[in-house]
Amino acid sequence: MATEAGDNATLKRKAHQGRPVSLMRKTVIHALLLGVCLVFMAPFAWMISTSLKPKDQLMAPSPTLVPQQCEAQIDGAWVAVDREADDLDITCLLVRPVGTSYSQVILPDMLHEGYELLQTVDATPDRPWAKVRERLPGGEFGELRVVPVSELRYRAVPQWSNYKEVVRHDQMKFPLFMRNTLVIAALGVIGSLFGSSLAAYAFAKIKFRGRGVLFVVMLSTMMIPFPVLMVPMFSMFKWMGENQLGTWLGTFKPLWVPMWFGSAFNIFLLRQFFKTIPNELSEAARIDGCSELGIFLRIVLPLSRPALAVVALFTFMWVWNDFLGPLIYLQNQEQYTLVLGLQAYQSQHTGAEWHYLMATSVLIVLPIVVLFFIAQRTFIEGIATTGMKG
Amino acid sequence: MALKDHNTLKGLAFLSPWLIGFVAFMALPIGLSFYYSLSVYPLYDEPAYVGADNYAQLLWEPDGSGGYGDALFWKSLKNTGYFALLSLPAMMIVSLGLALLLNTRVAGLSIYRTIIFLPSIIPIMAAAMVFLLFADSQDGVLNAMLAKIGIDGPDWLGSEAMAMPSLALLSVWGVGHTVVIYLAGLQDVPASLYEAAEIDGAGAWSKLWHVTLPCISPVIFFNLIIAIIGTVQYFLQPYVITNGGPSESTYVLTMYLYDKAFQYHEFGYASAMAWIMFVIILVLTGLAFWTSKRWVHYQGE
Repeated sequence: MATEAGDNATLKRKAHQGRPVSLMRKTVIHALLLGVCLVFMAPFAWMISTSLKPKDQLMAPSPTLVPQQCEAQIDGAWVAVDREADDLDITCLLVRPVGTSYSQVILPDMLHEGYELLQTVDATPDRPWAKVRERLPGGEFGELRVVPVSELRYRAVPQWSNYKEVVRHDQMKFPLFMRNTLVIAALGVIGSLFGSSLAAYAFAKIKFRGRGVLFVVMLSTMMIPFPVLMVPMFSMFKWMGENQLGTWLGTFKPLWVPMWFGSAFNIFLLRQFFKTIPNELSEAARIDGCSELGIFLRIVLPLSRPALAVVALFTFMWVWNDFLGPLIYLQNQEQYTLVLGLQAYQSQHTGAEWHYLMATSVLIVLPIVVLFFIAQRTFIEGIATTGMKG
Repeated sequence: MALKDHNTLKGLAFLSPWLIGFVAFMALPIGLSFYYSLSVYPLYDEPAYVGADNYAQLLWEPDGSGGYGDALFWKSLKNTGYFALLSLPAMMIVSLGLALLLNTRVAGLSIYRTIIFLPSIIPIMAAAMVFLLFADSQDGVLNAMLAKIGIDGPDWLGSEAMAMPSLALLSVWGVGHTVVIYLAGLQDVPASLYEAAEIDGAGAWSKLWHVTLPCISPVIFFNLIIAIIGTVQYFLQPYVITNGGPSESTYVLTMYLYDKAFQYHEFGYASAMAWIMFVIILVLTGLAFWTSKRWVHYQGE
């Protein structure tokens, strides 16, 4: 596509100058945008809400957005309880098998000497009783009790402890996965800044034979789908391991080393920016005896901080989000990244652990959202640039 | 001439990391992949050349039950195509529509823009997780909300008919990235063109059709190419959300490729599939480029 030299890479913020928008039209636009934004925000709201719910509220028959906690009066005091999904709606008995320390619910005709009767439950479909267990510190539960549903109360209490439990979870090794992700991201970000800026400088500032052809080759690598590369790359890394040329499989190397050689997207983005830097600056430095590398390091790079920030940001996000790479190359759980760890945990606990899954999701989303708000301009301009000059 | 040679050396020196990377991580793997695609290559053995056998098995050899080629391959290809048919037009239209809405002068635009943009930058895995919960047929809030207004919501992810449309719906949620690119394009449309159109008595639709769309056609084209390349490789969402099901109705091309390579260790067969995928991308982008002469207008040319 057309690329104009010297075109400024920054996005010009100007709404088009038409007639003032009529009130009627404004209302319609606001209504449409509000509707879309509500739909777009709903999953976030649900994610956060679920991450703060107690386990027994995850599948509540009519889900509430505000995290509720079920409470019952036990021995005269209101305590937080875990309510089981199935309520009782016929007469039954709460009993304790003699010689044990747990209680259970049985039908009246099942009562025999082996049971100590604790309570008669005169539940009816109109007056159901709930089976509850007191929530004890440390994620433990008290013994089974029965309470009329009408005597339960719900209070809006967010379960911040879900987050604490997720971070300390022995299967979802959050701190470890976070560390792994950050190591790969750091190496990847430094590497892509290095490799991409060098190549971008060659494409933007040095006139040499074959540059045009190489540039087209470089751009066309964007079209190569990763699924085409993943099989041969896996077998290359396997081959290297078998021939004492370095262990790559089951390490982070396949995930960050290739980034040190630059990627088409980042090279293109930086090249567009480098081209906007006037050649007079480098010419002046060259007359002063500055080498090409010196010009690159001392003049071009310092002037390109905004573009380098875009590359760093996008690379970080790419590593943070990447799933297929870690899925293929990482072989034991100790090395998992956050995204891979989340998926592994989800596939092992289908359906039941939504509060933990959502708390983890929030923790994975949060850094990206924070980054976005810190660097909103960088984000938007970076994306706009790639599209505009693509 | 001496200066030119000097420049060539300098240029190649600066380019050397990329050149080495290109050879090691692009050219060599692509060459190997092509060789593997012509081989039988069980992961823990050497590749053995068999010619076009893999392609024959995938595409045209009778499969013994009246069909030709690998039925599952055709199914996965069909699924990817179906997903593309559902999601590409939806994404293109929704993103352009939102960009047009955001390119007006009303208050609070930056807030709207931020909200629309956010879903596109969060990890797809997190989006997949929340969608799993959101669209669950029994416990999902989506059906609970629909029930409140008297609609018996479908089994979004659990029924063959709805699973793929649901995934396409999720892809529309992540459209913000494209919206931002459109928005930048819209803001570069010269105001003078709108003024000229207004003097000629053009209404809103006429301006959209005769000024806006032609002016941003290069951006539409760019977004289309990016979307095509991404859609053909579609993998994570069906892998995580539906695991290809129910009844393989969301089993897409990349999932089959992944399974063949890393579950069944048939590297040769998987490579042949990868090459078919590559050719599909090349043909589709080629087609887009070919037709682009008719509908993409570059300003100042």
